[in-house]
Amino acid sequence: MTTNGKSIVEIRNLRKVYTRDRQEVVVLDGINLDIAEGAFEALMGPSGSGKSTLLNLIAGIDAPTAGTLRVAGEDVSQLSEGQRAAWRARHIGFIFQFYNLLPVLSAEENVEMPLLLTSLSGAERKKRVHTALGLVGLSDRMDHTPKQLSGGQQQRVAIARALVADPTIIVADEPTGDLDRKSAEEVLQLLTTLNKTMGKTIVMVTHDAHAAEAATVQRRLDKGVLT
Amino acid sequence: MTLTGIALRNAYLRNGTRSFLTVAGTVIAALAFIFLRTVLSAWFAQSEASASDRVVTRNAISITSPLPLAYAEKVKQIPGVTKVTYSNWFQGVYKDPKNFFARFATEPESALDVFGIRFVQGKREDFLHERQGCIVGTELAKKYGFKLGDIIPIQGDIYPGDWAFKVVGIIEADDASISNTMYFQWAYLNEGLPDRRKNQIGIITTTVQNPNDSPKVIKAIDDLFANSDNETHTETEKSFRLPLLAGSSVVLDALLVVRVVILAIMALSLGNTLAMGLRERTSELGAMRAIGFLPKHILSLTISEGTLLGLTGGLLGTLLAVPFLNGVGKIMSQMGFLSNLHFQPVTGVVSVLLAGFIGFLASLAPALAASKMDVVTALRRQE
Ligand SMILES: Nc1ncnc2c1ncn2[C@@H]1O[C@H](COP(=O)(O)OP(=O)(O)OP(=O)(O)O)[C@@H](O)[C@H]1O
Ligand SMILES: [Mg+2]
Repeated sequence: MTTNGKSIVEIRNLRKVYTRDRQEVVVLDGINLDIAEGAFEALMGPSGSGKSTLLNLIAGIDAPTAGTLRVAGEDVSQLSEGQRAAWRARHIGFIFQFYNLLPVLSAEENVEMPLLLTSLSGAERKKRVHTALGLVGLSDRMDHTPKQLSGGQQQRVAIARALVADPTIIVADEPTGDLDRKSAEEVLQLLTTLNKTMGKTIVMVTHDAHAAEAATVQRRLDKGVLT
Repeated sequence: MTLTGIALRNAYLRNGTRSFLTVAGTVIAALAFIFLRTVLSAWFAQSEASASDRVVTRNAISITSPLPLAYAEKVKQIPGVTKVTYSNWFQGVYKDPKNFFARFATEPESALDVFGIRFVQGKREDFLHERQGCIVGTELAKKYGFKLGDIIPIQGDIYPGDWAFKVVGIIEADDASISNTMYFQWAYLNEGLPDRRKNQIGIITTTVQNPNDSPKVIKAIDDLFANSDNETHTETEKSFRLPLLAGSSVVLDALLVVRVVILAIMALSLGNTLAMGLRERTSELGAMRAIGFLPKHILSLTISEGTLLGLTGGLLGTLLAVPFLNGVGKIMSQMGFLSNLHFQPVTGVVSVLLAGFIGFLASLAPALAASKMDVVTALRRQE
């Protein structure tokens, strides 16, 4: 672990309540959590325990019902919708279970997506994209579209997309959930490398105990409470 | 890579079959739109060409019921009337039914006067004196190669028998439809008919001194023959010609409605394609939003896609319209109506822009819905 003791995520008394058919569903109930800069944390727990919800709150795509949430030095819940989008573009790299690549774009173009929101020149963008694809070992697949890639390769393209804008935190929701063992292993290896050699903070949701072992910290969520 | 580039690929590459079908539908709609617009404008142009100082009288029962010859003389007595002529729709077949053009039996002297007919070849006197003589419009002469002195055989149908006419003049007039018309002597027709069909005329065409008085003259004519065995129906030549071409002016109104319906169908088809496409890529759009793209980016991405599809269909439809209209125009003018049917660049430009605009409008609702979607909800909707 390459933590320096500083918390990059600080969560206090976080509550998330959904109202469904006039019935309140308490999804997160008084969460307190600190994640150190440079940590690689795994969030485990049964289905429906609120893992994705917590991750979405940390990533700033969802808003809490109560409590405070400081991520990368910002009280995200105080930001407007537009400010949050800009904040995410600057600080968060996303990895999804089903990759969510654009099928009409090549690997290279998919990785370039987050950079379209920056003021970088075309040449600079290309350079970064090539570096990111090199890091995930897909320099020779830049022109392939997602359909021409295996699931594992698609997830690696997605990882390149997540890190191309040099985010503060990478969030991954079941990044190996749709992959076979071997591809899953490669993806976990890659995340470990990003964490160890580049010092990226990574928060990963997974149900797979084996996958969780790749992380340096494992936490369990049960019925909306961290145990 | 730019957002526009992504919109382009979304439009054409994402689901090739669906894009092809949608564009094909838009092409057909654009083609139909251009066709109707061209036909309608040719149609109106034709009726606009008719002189505003002419009124036409027919039997009130129907256009095919004749009037007594004596009526023409009576109409001439009505105040405000300057010239009167009469004619019978002869029809018949020239060699083959597909050689269709307008043939009228008419009173020569008054007809030349009322319709303002000019002789390009031949002499006026020959038409007045040659019993079997006929005059043909310049377009007809060109199409069938009629020359002065030619004998034109016509197989009669409304007026049975084998008829033959000698070309004594090639004619034109300000009214372009005359160039596709043949006239011959009414007296020649009349003497060839059995007694019970003699001295009957089809329509009376009257020139009024002052076009503003037309309503008054129209009323005077119809009043004159009210409560007789043959009541009349008189109208301006302009309104007489519209239904003559259409069969009924209701058809004209219907076509105008159809034109709007075509555009509505185009919008629905485009809107449906976009809505379907967006529903399928909900989680992808959620991912874009998570990455930091804003609702306005999603909005412009989708609207560009719809506008592109509309423009493509409109453009292809317009390109196809050129040979299509020229082909149909040829057939139409061979059949004797709408001789001025041809592709107009303005209509093409209007259609392309309209198709693009419809694509834009059709994409608004799905685009707004997609852009307003909650990020978490969108991401949850995985296949
Ligand atoms: N928009 C919503 N409206 C109502 N309830 C919701 C909504 N989103 C999530 N929930 C509920 O919140 C609870 C936690 O959901 P969450 O997706 O965080 O669970 P999870 O731990 O990620 O589960 P899984 O392992 O199945 O992904 C579930 O009971 C879910 O039904
Ligand atoms: Mg989940």
